Amino acid sequence: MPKPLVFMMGQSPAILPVDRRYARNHMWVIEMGETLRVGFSAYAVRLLGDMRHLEWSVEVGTEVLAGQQIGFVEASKATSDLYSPMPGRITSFNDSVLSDPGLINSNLYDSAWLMELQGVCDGLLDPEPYVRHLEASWPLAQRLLKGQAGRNPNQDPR
Amino acid sequence: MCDAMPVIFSEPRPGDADQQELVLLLTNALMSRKAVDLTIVPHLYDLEPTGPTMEFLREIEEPMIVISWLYPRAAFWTLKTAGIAGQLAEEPADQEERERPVWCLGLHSEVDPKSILDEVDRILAGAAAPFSGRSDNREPTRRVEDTRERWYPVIDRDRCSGCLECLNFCLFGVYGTDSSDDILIEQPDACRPGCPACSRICPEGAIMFPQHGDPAISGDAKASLEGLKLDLSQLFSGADPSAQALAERDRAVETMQSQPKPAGGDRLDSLVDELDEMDL
Ligand code: SF4
Ligand code: SF4
Repeated sequence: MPKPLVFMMGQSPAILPVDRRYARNHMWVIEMGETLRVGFSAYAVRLLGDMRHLEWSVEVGTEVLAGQQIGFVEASKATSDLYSPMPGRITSFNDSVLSDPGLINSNLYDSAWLMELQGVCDGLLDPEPYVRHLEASWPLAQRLLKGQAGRNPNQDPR
Repeated sequence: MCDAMPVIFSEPRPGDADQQELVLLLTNALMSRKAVDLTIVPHLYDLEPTGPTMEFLREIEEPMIVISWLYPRAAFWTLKTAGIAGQLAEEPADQEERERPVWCLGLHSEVDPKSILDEVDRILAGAAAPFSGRSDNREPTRRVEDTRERWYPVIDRDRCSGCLECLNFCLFGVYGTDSSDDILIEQPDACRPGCPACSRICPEGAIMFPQHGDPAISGDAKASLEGLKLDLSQLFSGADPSAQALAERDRAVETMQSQPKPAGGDRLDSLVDELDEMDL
């Protein structure tokens, strides 16, 4: 397999295999015949930390829109709602990551895929453009993180 | 047998009349107890570890009570970081424990002074050997030191796992490591005043900013860690983070302009400052 791309998040490398495409919401998408398999990119996993809990708010068979909220994840550093990277019909969720979300940290590009759907993979980025997307948005993503991390300034006289 | 137990009373930062009143009430009440050897010190968190007051505190070897405007955990680890030995004591029985017990009692504007005095009496009553009591009628000892308002992280070493996330995260060189790779607050005063970012990043909830308004950050042992987590939904919604950040910022500016003096103004102010100043 060709060498993966690497995006440096500060000191930490985010490894991005080139055998698949990426959505702007930091999920990878790989074609498996008729279905598209979806998982988290290393960038997403690095921001979230150790996965603790994953849940889906839609059922298998649901038609979803791109950007539709479909679930929620809680990890050691952050929480996030999850959104569909593209329109389609959900054909399955990966049960093994539901029962052991930690798998995502150890095996994010293989067995720890999140879901499969049938649909059109519009608007996905090839690995190089995804890296450029990360490069362009990393400083601002950082600021956003810090802006949020910096809320509740001290107003307590204590 | 000792005649009295050292009680260290940390003053509030200057400026609040209610707090000053509470200080007067409490210090008078404490002085009326013969088993109390009272010393009044500047605000604990603002003391330099190398300054004369910390030096004085390091020399106290007996069990002691520390009353400060900080959560007990925050007060204790502020002291411990400055090399003051002991363990955070909770019950009078803790006097039997291995290390010298340090009782830390936290003050805040709404504290009931009686609860503090009751706690002091309870600790005095539980002392291993009863105190004979001071015979003098002197004023409390006052340690004077020039302090300025500081802002830096305080690590709870009982919680810290040594993962060094904080070191990797902070862009201001606050953290470093010692020779055995343990986390060290190398340049506390390089920390950006008001920034509590790394406390939200620490997986163990070990980093405290004792002057922060959120109890989970300022050292309340009971406040949940979950509340500290970042919500990254904005980043994962797929919208371009740059657009998101700008939108956030515009919203913040708009809200500030449309509300003459909103209660949340400072919060928004600081969010905007955060976006502006962050030198990445
Ligand atoms: S992030 Fe928290 S647990 Fe990790 S080294 Fe820093 S203080 Fe310790
Ligand atoms: S609060 Fe901010 S500046 Fe201070 S140590 Fe943490 S990350 Fe660094």
